[in-house]
Amino acid sequence: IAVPLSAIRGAASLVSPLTTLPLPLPSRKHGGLRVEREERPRPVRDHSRTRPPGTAASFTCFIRYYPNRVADRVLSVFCHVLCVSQAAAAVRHQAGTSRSLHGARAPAVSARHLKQLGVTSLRSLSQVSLSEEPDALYQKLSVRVKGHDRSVLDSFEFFASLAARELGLSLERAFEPRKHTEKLTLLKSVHIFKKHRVQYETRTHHRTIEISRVTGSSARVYLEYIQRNLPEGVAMEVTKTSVEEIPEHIQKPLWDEGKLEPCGQ
Amino acid sequence: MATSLVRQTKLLSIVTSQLSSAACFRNIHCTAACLKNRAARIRVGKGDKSVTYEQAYHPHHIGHRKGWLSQHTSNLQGEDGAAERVVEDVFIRRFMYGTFHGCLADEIVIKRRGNLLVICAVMIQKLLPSKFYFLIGYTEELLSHFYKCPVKIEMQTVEEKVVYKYL
Repeated sequence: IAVPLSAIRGAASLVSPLTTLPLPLPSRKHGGLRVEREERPRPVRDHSRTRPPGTAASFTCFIRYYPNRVADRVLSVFCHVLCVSQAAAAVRHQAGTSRSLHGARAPAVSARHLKQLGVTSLRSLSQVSLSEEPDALYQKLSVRVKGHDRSVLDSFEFFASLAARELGLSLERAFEPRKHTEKLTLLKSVHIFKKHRVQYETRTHHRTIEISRVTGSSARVYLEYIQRNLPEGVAMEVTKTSVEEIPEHIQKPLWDEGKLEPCGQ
Repeated sequence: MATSLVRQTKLLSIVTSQLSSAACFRNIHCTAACLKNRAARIRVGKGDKSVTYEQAYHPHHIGHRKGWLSQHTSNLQGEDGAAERVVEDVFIRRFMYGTFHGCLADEIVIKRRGNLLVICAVMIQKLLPSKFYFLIGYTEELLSHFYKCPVKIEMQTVEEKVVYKYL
């Protein structure tokens, strides 16, 4: 033995090279050296944030992360959120609450501030439409993305959860369902050799993001933003669980009103 | 696909039995075959053949050391339209190879984002930039008319073909 394995590994050894140690045989696969491979570090799903969502500070942070993806529509969405919060704060202020919400919750987004970030035109709030009918309410919005590449789904999950947090939606959980493998067994050769086959497989990875207690318009906005920025080769399935009012005819039980006839007579 | 293959083999075995009984001894090749050892591989030679990164790695390295050349959702579980995408891809690759003859440094990457078709190509600086612009516009216009969807070409030029190793 020219060089002992312990010296190659860089471990400090007090044993002289002349003594024979019961070392494991080096595997041929890595060219004679035992290489310890570390697992690729998975992204840590840390959903706790210090910055309050829905404020101008969080909006600027969001723009800084994704400057190319901020479209006018998103800007109007954010302005709607900000202005709605501002309007809500104004209403609350007028209603006579003692706490001052202006400074903390809804700072005014100035044109100069926006120009600094490279946004020149600000769509007016005429995009926000008010209607009489009540907005749909969703108990759960489940977004399931499928793809062949796991790292693409990792980054999309980060993007979608960040968007949900910045829009002020409550992100319930983001998990990874089991991958699905479709296998094909084909003949290896063009002619004869039936015993020799070759196998191919297609792997589909999934990722699900669940958002709870969302209004219809917020869900529509969030989904549109997510879907516009869906990477190529990734498919999305959306499941919405809506909350409906109980129909009038079953709101009260029949035995309360005395409509039930006594049975067994 | 496996069930349809089984059905096909059953049908063809019935047909062959009928044919053989009628004194006609032709054999029909009825199961799918693929030459796994030789598909999409450049065989090792004397050391004079230059080979790009894409050509150097074999198909079983896709997903590990190679990326995907054509990115669409039809091969995912529960999605359809794979055959149409394959036919479109073959046509697009042949079209690009013919339009930019001798200028392609490596395989074309085709990405589909919703309705949009994005063709990413790396070219050798063989033609003048103005000619490249004309050919890009020509390709985008024709392909968008063929496939009734917006087509964008993202091109990058390189002085010479990027050689990974010699086989």
